[in-house]
Amino acid sequence: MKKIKKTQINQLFEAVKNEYSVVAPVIKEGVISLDLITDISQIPSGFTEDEKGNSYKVAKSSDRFFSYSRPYLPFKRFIIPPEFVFMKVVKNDGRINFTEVIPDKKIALFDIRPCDLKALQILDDVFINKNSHPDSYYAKAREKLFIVAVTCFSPTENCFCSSMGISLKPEHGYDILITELKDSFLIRAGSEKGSKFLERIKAEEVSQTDLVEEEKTIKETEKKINKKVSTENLSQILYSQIDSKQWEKVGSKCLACTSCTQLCPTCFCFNIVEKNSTDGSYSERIRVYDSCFNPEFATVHRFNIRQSIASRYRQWLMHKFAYWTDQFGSYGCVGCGRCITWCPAGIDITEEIKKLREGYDNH
Amino acid sequence: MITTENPYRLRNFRVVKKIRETADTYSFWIESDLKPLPGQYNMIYYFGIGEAPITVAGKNGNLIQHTVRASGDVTSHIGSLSEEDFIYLRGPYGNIWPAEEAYGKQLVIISGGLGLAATKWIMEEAIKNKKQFKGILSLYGSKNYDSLLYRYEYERWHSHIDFRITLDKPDPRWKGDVGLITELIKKTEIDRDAVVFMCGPDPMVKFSVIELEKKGVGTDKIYVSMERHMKCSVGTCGHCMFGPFFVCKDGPVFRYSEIKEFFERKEV
Amino acid sequence: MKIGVFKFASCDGCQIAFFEISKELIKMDVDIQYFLEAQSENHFDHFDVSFVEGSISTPEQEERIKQIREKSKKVAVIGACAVSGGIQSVRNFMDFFDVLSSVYPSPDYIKSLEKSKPVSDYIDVDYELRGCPINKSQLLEIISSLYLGKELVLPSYPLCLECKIKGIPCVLILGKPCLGSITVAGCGAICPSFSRGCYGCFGPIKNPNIQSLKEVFEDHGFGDIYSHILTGFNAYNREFRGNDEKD
Repeated sequence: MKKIKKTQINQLFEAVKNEYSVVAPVIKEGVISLDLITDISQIPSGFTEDEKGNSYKVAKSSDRFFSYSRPYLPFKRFIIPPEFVFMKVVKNDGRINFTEVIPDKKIALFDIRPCDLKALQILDDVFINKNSHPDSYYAKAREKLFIVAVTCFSPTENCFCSSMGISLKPEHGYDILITELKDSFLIRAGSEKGSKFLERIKAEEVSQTDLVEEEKTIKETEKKINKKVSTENLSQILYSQIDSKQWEKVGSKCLACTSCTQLCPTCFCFNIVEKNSTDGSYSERIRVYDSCFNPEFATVHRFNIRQSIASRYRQWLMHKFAYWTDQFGSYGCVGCGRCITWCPAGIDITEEIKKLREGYDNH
Repeated sequence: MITTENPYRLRNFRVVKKIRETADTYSFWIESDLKPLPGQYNMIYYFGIGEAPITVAGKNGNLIQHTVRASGDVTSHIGSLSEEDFIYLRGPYGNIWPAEEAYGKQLVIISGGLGLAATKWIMEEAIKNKKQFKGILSLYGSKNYDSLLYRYEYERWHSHIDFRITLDKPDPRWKGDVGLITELIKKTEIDRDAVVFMCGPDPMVKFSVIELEKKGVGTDKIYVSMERHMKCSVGTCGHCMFGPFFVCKDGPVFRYSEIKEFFERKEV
Repeated sequence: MKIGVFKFASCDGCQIAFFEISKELIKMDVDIQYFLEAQSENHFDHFDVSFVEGSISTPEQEERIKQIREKSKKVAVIGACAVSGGIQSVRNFMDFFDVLSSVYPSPDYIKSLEKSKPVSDYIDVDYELRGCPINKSQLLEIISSLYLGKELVLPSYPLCLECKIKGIPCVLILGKPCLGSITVAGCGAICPSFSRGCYGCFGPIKNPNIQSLKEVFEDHGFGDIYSHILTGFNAYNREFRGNDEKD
C-alpha cells in the first residue's frame, strides 16, 4: 500500500493509459455515463448524482475527486458488448467457412466501484467459472482486463449494496484499489500486474492517521446507505411466494420496457441473430443483448410462454434473488440501484421484495 | 491464462441418407465422429438463417440420426438438405435418459408427435438390453395417420416390445387405437414401480402424468424431455430458463418431481 | 423478383426509401414492374411482392387494394398510414360530415370513406413496416429476406431496448415525455439519441401498458400531452382503438 498526492493521480492514469484503452466514468448527455477516455480531466470530478426514486439529476457539488457514484451504464458493456459479431461466415462453392471473432483490445476499467466489481465476479461465474462450456469470447476479454477499483464514498439514495453483502472497500478482484482521503489517495495493489504499476509511481509511506481516516470515512459512508433488502432466507421465501398477488400488482405498473435488465450489471441474457449480405455469400452471427421482458423472449413454436408482464417481472425478480442462488450460489444482485433510478414506471425492487416478504410473514 | 474452445464452433458433416418421414418431417443420417448419448441434442446451423436444437434420434456406428420437422425458418431450411450435402452443427449437449433407473423394472416410454424422435434411440438401446428390464412398454400418440413417424420400424419394434400407437383422429387406413394418449395410458397395464420416459407437448405431459399417478407411478419415477427456446445451448443466453433450470444444460431430461412445481404453473 | 410499389392516402415519403436502397436493389436482380413515383412505364400484371404506402380512405382505394392483393404473392404495407391509418385517421374520432364540411366548401363533390383505415382492415397483409417514415434498412430487410428465402425478422420489443443497447440514457427519467416503452423498436432510436422523447411514429407494441404510462405522464406533470401524442400517426392502430372499434 502506498500514498500519493492528489495531483499524482494523473501519473497513475497515464501509466495505465500507456498499456490499455481506458474506460471510465464521463459526463455525457447530462448523466454520469461510461466511455473510453484519453485524459484524466474527462472524469467528472466534482459532480454528484441526485437519485431519488426514479428521478435523476447531476450537479456540481463536491470538491472530491471521485465525487460521483457508479456510472448509469454497467461495465459489462465493455466486456460483452451490447451487439457484436462473434462469427463471420463465408459461403463459397457450396462450402462454408467460419472465422471466429476474438476480442483483442486491452481494456482498463478505471474507477469501478465495489458493486460493479462484485457484478464482474458474478458474471465470471456465469460465463466461465460455473459453466461447463466456458464462453471463450468473455474469457478472452476478461483476461485482457485491468481493473482499477475505487473505494466508494458516494452512494446514491437508491444504493443498497451493503445489504447485499458488499463492503465499500473491496477486498479482492482488482489490480489496483484507490481510496480517496481528504488530501491524498491510498493505493493498494491486488495483483502482480497492479504492483508493477505502483512501483513506477513515486509515493509516500502510509501513516496510521491515514488508515484511521480511511476507516472513519468508510463508517460514515455506511451510515448514508439507508435502502436495503433483507436477505435472510430470501430465496426460500420467494419460492413460497411464486403465486403471490403482488406479481399482478407490479405487472400492472411495469411497462416491460427492459431498462432494468439492460442497466443491471449482472443481467447476461442475449440473443443470437444472423445478418446477411444481400448477395447471400456472407453472413455474420451476432450476439445482442436480450431481456426476459422482451415479448418474444421465451417463444416456443411462435408462442411466448410468459405472455403477461406480471410473469416476466416475476421471472426477473425470481431469477435475481431465488433462481440465481440455485444456479450460481449467490444472488444476482449487487444493490447498485440502477434498476430503481432508471425504471420509468417507478418500480423499486427493494419495495417489491419487502411486499413479498410481508406476504410470507402474514401467511 | 484461460484456454477454452469456442463453444459456438461449428463442424461440418456429410449427410449420407435422407428419409422423408412425413410430408414435412425428414430424417438425416450423418457421418460423424461425435459421441452423443440417448437424450442429448445438437445445435444444427443453416447458413444465414440460424440454429435449432435437434435431438439425436439414433446412432449406428459412426452414423447419427436427426429427425427434423420443417416448422420454423431454420428447420425448414435444414429440411431442404439433400444426401451428400454438408450439415453444420455443434454438440452434443444436454443430459441423458437414466436407463439404469429402470433396470429390473418395467420401462415405459411415452411419446407424443415429434417427441418420438427424442425417445426412439433410448427405446432402441433398451431393446438391445432387453434382459435388463422387467418389460418394455412404448406408447406413441400421433395427431393423425399422416404424421406417423418411422413407420418402417414398427414391425421390428412390435416383435421385440409392447409397442402401441394411438391416433388422435380416426382414419380409414388405421385399424389400431384412436384417442388421446391419456386414454391409451388409462387402458394399459403399468406397474406401480415402473420407470417412465416421456417426451411430447407440454399439455400431453401434464395429463399423462395425472394418469400415471392414478396408476400409482411416482412422479420421481417419471422423466420428461422438455422443449424450450434455446439459442446458446450452454447456459448463458437465458432463453430456455425454466424456474432455476437451464433446460439446455440441466436438461432436456428432467425428473418430473423436481420440475413439477414449475411445470404445473403457468408462465414460469 | 417482380415488385410493385403503390400509394394510397399518404404523403409519398415512405417510397423515398426505395431510392435510398437502389444500389442494393440492383444487386438483387429486382424487377420493378409498377412504381408511379419512379418510372413512366408501368405494368399491372402480377407481383412477387407489392409494397403499399398509405391508408384506405376512398371507395376507389378500397377496390384497388383488393385488385393488388389478387395480383400479388406477398403484400407488404409500409409506413404508419398503411399500417395504422395515418395522421388522416384523426377524422375517425370526429363526426365525418363536420370534418368534410370544415375542409371543403361543397362536400357533395367529395367521395370519401367515413374512416381512414389500415390496409389490413381490407385485405390480408404479409409484412408490416412501421414508422413515419419507414426505416430503409427494414425495407431492405424485407426484400433481401425474400430474395434469400429467409423469414423476415423485425423487432417486436419496445424502443427502450434499442435505446439501452445504444447506451442512450432514458429521456423519460430525464424529464421528457417519451412513448418509447409502448412503441415498437426499429427506428434506430432517432429521437432519444437527440435527447428528445419518442412520439410513437413506429406505433404500438403488442399489448402496450397504455394505462401505466398514462399515470407516469401524470406523475411527471406532462399535462394532457399523452392523449394528444397517442392520437397521431398511429391513432387508429388496433392497439389504440376503442374496444368497440377493435374489428
